[in-house]
Amino acid sequence: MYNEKQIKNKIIRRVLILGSFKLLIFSVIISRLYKIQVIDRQKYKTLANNNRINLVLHAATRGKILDSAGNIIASNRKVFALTITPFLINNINNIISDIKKLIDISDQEIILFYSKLEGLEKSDVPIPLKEYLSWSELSIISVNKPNLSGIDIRVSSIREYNRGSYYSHIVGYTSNVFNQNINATKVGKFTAGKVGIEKIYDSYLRGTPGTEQIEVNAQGNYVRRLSLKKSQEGNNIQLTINSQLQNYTHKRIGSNTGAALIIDATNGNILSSASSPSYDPNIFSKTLNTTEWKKISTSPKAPLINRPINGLYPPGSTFKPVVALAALKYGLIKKTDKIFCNGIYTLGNRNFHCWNKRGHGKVNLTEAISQSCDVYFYEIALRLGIEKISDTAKQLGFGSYYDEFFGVSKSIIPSKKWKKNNFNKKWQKGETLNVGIGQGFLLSTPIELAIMTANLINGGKVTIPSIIKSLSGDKIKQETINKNKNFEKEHLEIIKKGMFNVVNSIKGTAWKSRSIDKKFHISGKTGTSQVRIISVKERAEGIIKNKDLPFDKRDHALFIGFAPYKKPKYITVVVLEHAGGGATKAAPVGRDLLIASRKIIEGIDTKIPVS
Amino acid sequence: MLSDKILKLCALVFTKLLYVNYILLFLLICIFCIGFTLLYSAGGGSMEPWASKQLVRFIISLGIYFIVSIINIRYWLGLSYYIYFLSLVLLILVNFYGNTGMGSQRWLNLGLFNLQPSELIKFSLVLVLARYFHADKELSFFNNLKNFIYPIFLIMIPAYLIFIQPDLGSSLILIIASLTILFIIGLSIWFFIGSTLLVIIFAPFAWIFLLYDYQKNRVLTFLDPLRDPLGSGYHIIQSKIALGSGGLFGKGFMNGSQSHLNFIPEMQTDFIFTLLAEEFGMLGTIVLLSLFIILIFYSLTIGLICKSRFACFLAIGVSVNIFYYVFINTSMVTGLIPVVGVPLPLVSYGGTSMMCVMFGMGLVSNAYINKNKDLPRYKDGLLGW
Repeated sequence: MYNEKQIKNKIIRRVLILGSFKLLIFSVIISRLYKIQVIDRQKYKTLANNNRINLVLHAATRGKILDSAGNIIASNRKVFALTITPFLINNINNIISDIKKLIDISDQEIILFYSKLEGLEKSDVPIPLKEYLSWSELSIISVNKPNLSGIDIRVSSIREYNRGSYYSHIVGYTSNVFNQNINATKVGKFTAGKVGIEKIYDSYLRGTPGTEQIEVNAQGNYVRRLSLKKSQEGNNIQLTINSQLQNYTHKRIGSNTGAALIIDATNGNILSSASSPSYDPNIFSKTLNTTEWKKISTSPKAPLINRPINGLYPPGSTFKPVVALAALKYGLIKKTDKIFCNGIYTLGNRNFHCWNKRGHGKVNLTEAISQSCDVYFYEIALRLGIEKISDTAKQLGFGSYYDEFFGVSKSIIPSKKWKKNNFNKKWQKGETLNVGIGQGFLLSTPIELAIMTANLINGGKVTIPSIIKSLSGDKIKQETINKNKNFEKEHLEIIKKGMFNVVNSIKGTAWKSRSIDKKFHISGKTGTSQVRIISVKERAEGIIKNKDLPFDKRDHALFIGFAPYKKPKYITVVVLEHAGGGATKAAPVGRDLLIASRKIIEGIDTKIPVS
Repeated sequence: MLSDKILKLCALVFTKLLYVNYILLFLLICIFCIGFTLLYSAGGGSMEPWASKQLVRFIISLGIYFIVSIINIRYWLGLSYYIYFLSLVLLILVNFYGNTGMGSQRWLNLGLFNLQPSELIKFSLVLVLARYFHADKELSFFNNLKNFIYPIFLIMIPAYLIFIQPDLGSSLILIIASLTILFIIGLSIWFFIGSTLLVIIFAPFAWIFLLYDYQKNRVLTFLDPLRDPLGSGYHIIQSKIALGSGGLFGKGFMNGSQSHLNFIPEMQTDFIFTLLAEEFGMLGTIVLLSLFIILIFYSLTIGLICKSRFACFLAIGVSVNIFYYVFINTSMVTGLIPVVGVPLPLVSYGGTSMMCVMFGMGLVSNAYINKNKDLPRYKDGLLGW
């Protein structure tokens, strides 16, 4: 029936088939191992290292910002935050309620936490639950930390502005860099300068972050440190700002909206720079809440704007010295030439008015400057034409850009080409007349007015503004001040004399702001710039007084000044928005700033007439 | 008189011990040593918590190996069905009183150790199939329906019991290993072609009605591990990283970062192969695989030289089972097949698996000792002894 041998043979056949099958399977497994362990080993080695090595960047301590005397304006403070690592926690809600039993967590903080958690539910990135722990909160959490897995204390430092709002515009502020694309904790808590010195000199202040390689286990817990490169502290920056003067400048402007600057006439160093209103830069160091931000950013008085470099104003009569210098330079008028002012200048069928309705009578150049006669400047502006005026303005520093102030707004020095480009229209002669008295299209920043003043009174030297005294301990060499070859010294003297008369002649517009100290004669130029057009009808009915106008229609009050007259040491620019007349509002402020400079820096009082 | 009997017994045992297959034993000890080293490393360079226990188990298992080897093969032939039914009872018990692990009931807590009846049944099934086909003169499956139905039942009952634990992996392995034995014994090729077709037809229904979500997930994750890198795909991804980062020569003993930093869950049990690969590289994996290959083919050869069918089927059956253990475990960790909970024999930490494997190897050794012995063909039927 059956054959044992046949069966045995069949079994042997089958075993051979099975044996080959097994060999086949093993060769597949071995080739798979070869693929993984030999061919792709580099890829997997990298992956294994990525698994186990966390690169942690430690933000360097940010360099300090100091005033000219070495007082601290900006430094750093350690802060502590409570973080939760979602990867290590099964139920985040439970952990939060556990923490809530220990310290106060507001609903807002919880909402913020969950919004940050979105998309990172399984991530090993610690997400902050509560920032800026107080000492008592910190100690409570530290004590209870062993019972709360997945929570951690993150230490970081935030910027502290010891002197508050008076320095906010100069120094700027920092805020946290939070980029979800770069794993936020793997790069630590970083801050970056957002505006001002903090931004411009960010690379100096920032320092070099330290790198630490740590080995972590699958739970993301620290196992050991593999390497550590310490962070290098950022460099300190010393400013030319004199703190006392800076404080005084702010106080003197008070509640006015506007800008005030004091620069060292000999080298262009900025001694104080005030922008009003200001804000507390410390609020940006912490996580800014939206309502606070809205309040600041939408305030009608725009506290975020750094007016000395970003405020664009029509310079008004403070521009007249430029026009006068241009006329002298191009020989279109002589010092003694007189022009008759009857209060109105007619061009074609249009009337251009002098601020003095009754006219100034016959005035020469110095008188025209000191009394700010508009008709005189209409006449010479017309003789010059717009091109010569704008060329001269540029030679005096308008429209120049300086590295330290790369936030400087672009002033508008109009020319035929400028109008063609911007309005695609031909330049009108009447527009030249407006520019002649610093109105019309003309717009400039207070810092430019300061530089213009310096260039006018320095006897032909070019002044470059500077706010940095030293970077990381190295004194910044003030660039050698070159001769300004564009102007003749004697022409500059005439202008300077005119500006002396503004304050020191009885007919001068700023006569009331004079000093009676022979060693500290104040000179300058007032300006009242119109921000609205006065219609023919209004002129006929009587010009509405400033105090009767809505605030934003009132004139800007300007004053540029310097002292002492012979060898000027201090230059000031005051711009008070919608404050009214330059002579009555801005000039007294300018005088006080110059006198304060002398008092603070040299310790000398200056006599002023009793009013 | 009594001492005389004891002396005789001792002499018998001693002579029997001489015949025990020491080549097999040497291979087993080598494999165990690799496993022991790895468990020592997995414990962070310590005998605790795994290496020492495993050593104790191995010593016990060695005892089992010798005892199984030297017991007269007739007894095994006679005891086959009882052992099989005992295993079935344990399997049923585990479904009622078993300890839950990974969502299924797999262990019986016997006080001293946890018993995993699904491991035990593998070798009991080998025994019972060897016994059954030893008795079947013609080995002709289609001439006699009974000849075909009985073994199918013998296989499917434990397979079903394991399936409802639920442990799909072990259940499938049991079926596949048994079918392989049937193939050796001479089941027609057409049967395999037919059942493959059936599987293909019914797979979609099984997918919908029989598989649990976690099982479906495992299959889907196998097809695309990145589908859920922190969930089901985690095992496969991390395991491959460990293997690959080991390279040719490994990171060195106790230096496996993937394993020691807990990136590999279950590294002392089912995923111990990754630890080997990471610390000893391709060199280590090839050595271990070679040992297994030698072991498997050596057992197969023992089967072929046995005179009696029972011994032959025993050795081949055990060899097939060891083969599937190794094949499925290594394919799983290398990402060739989905993750199924199968230990690497003698290497993975675990008592039942080790004792069962050593029991099986004891049977192979027994077959070797009795290779020239003719065994009586008992009456056909289930309990015909």
